[in-house]
Amino acid sequence: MADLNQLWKKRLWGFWEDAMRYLRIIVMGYVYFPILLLIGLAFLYQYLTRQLPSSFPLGWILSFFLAWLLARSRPRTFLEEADLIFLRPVHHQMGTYFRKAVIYSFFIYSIQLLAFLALLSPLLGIYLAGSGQILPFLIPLLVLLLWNLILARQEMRAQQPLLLFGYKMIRFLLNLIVCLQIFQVIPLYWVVDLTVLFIIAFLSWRKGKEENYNWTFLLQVERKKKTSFYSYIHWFMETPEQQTTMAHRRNLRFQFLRLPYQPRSTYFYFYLKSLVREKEVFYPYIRLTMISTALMFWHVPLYISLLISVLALLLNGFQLYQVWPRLDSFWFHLYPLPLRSREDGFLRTLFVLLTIHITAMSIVTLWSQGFGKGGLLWLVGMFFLAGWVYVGIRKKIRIHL
Amino acid sequence: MGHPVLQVQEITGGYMKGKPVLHRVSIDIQSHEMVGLIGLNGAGKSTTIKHILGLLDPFEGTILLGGMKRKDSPAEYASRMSYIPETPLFYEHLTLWEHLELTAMAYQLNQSDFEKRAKELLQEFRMERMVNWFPSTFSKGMKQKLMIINAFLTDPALYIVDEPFVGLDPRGIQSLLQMLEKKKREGASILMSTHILATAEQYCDRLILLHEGRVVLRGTLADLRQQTGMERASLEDIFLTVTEVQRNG
Repeated sequence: MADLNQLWKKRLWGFWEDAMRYLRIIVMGYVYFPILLLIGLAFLYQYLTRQLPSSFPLGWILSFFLAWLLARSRPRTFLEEADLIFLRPVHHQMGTYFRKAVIYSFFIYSIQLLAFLALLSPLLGIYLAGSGQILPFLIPLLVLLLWNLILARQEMRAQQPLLLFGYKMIRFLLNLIVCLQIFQVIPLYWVVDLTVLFIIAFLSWRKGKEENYNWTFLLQVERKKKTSFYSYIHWFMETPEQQTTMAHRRNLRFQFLRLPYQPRSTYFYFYLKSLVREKEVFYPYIRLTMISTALMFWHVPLYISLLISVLALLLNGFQLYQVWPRLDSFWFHLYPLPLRSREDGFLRTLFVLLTIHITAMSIVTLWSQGFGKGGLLWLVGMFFLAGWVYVGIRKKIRIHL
Repeated sequence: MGHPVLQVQEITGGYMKGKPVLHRVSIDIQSHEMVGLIGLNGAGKSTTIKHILGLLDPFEGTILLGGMKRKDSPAEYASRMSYIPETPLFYEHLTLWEHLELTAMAYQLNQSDFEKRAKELLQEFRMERMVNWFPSTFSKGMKQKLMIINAFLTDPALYIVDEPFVGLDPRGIQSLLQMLEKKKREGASILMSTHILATAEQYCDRLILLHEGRVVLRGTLADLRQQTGMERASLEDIFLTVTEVQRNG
């Protein structure tokens, strides 16, 4: 179908045209601050990896991480909501469209995989030290990636959510077994591996021929992929394409989210609930808080701990602060409240969330490296936060009022 | 009749200074009064409402709410009115109850008063079961009910109601109309923009017909009949005739 081939091309170019606009701004350096932060963190990471004890289960950790990364690879299809009406009736003619989606996704995820391997290079160095070659790691991982994508395409025909989850778990386990072999945790049997992978791929392809695609799931995956791309961009700048997903957080409702009824805290009430519920903001916040807190277990000089804390606070604060222009509402213009109270509510929310972050890091430092170091870290962190949030960020958000 | 709660005095306004949408529009609403704002699509009803809400500033003329201009004290001006929008506008991140709580806090309501009033309204509009739901999962009518409950939580001098019946079930419409009548009896003023002319005819004390940004008719139904020379005509007949005549020049 010439039209469907054109459609693939049109959608692919449409997406990249838009994406390149953002990437150009990032690469050109207009948003150099987060890049500098990331470079700073990369140096710290290299420094910390050199301190790893020899008993550290690196092979297991790398295998789990890569197995999970490969299992969550699903083809990007560039499908849109309206396709449910317009393309679904011609789905049987879309074989080439979906094949192109798999090939394109393989190309893109290969680049991502290479980037991840580059990120892991200080750790991989331990393995590379023996052979000095990256290819024995890279080629099997690329084969595994292609296998995951082929299977993931066929899985998208499953109608039951439980089945979809089950397939993903099976892929994860097989990925894990192969990765453990790649990282020499268990002995390598590449003939057996290849045979098993091939048989599974063949069975999945044959079964897939009999079933239609689960369009609701196809659209859901595409939405997630798109959101995930713009979430990376979101680290550097605000985009209108940024989609948000909400988590009810019932378990938090009676604790963290149960805020007292205080008319003077109207905007704090709104922003705290909103930020905690928005997955694209809260999950990175939790991840960053946990990673930076875990880093405090390492015994490093005080200046390194301070540097890590400040960088982690800056990164977290930066990604939280990006929501300011988006979390605006028509109703804010009608509330009988001074405009400035909105700004105060937002800054208070940032301050509370970042205080939790620095407190978690300080408690771990206090426990692992003593009261003096932990206390000092907390004091410096709080002093920095007060200045940065109430002076630095206040200045930035005033522009938007 | 009491003192005028809302006075829109000869305003000319719109979105771009060179292209006004409204031309010397005047509206006044007394206490204990419901005024219907009617007109074709694009007649300027929503633009008029935006000016009253303070979302747009008129190029000329003044708007007084309880004798006060918005720029004198924006917060106090805002506290004197409540708004039900044509399209439900809600916070994606908050549940139904949290919407109500946020509004009550913004309007500085006492907590026990808020809870009592919220429960009564939720019961009246049959929304008690949905208090912990996110509005994005609501039907159109339920979203509209959220807007209505939100507006009636506070006790302002003026209610601005823009096309309130869209998506509401008959029981919801009845509850809304009863609520508006009750507020009117208690002394509030109501400005209601609607296309449901039979309801406007039945419930509104006075009517204002906007056409192409100008007030072409105003008064009670009897006044409108007299002005058009259409004795015993319904509001719909008058509306159709006037807008047709205006179109033909």
